Amino acid sequence: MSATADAALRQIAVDVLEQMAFVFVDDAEAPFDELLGGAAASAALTVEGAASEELTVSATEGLVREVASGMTGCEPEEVDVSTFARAVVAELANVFGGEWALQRSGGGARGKVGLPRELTIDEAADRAVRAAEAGAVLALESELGAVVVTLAAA
Amino acid sequence: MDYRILIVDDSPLLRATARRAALQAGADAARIREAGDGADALARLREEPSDIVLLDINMPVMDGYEFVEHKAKDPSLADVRVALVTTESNPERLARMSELGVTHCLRKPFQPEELRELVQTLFAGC
Repeated sequence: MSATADAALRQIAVDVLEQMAFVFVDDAEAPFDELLGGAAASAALTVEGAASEELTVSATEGLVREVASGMTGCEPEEVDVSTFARAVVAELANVFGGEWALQRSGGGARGKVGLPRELTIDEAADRAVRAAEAGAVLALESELGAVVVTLAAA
Repeated sequence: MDYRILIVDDSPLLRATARRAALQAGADAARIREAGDGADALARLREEPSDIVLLDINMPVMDGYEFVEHKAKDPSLADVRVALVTTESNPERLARMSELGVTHCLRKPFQPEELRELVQTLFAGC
């Protein structure tokens, strides 16, 4: 994937987390495979446009707490991670995917985003390795946690 | 406020977010209900109507499009106001929803106060 596309995907993730959940992220210091080992949940979905792509989102418990707290108004320590981990990664995949589809269609909004599906950590790691070779992998960290986003041809 | 609101989204995170927005807009907690898909939403509305529906599109079992199509054909649901809360941006699909009676659309990503403002607007129109 081009550097321009990488940067666009990164900006989508940064903007969505800030806008929807008041979570501020920056490039992670740890490598993505290390972060994936500590992920609380992972989700994937397909983005159909000019090409069919698969986007995955994996988040650590800390980021789950931050996102759920920012959106629902509860304190991070009050977040039920067993309930919200899958919901957070699924919704982030959904919104990132929608924004990616919109950008890839040049604003013409002809893309379509599939339903998120749960991934095991091993499945997410496999996709990250493949995306690192021929796609995009983002590893972003927040105050309490981290998120890994991958994008590759479906 | 006495308005009844049904939140329709397969995401427990979005349902909790919308619940918070409804409460901040003045809704009575006892008058807020939730559904996880369009079929569940139709069943709940036919048991007991709501004044407002906040509706996701991308859901399993029955998506938001199909829900709106079914609702439009049911005279008992004619007074229910529907607002989309969605990642959808396709103008043709959104225009079709508008033709079928959807009155508002809030596109994700949104800031939490935008959702509260949407609910307040919907309440004002009831």
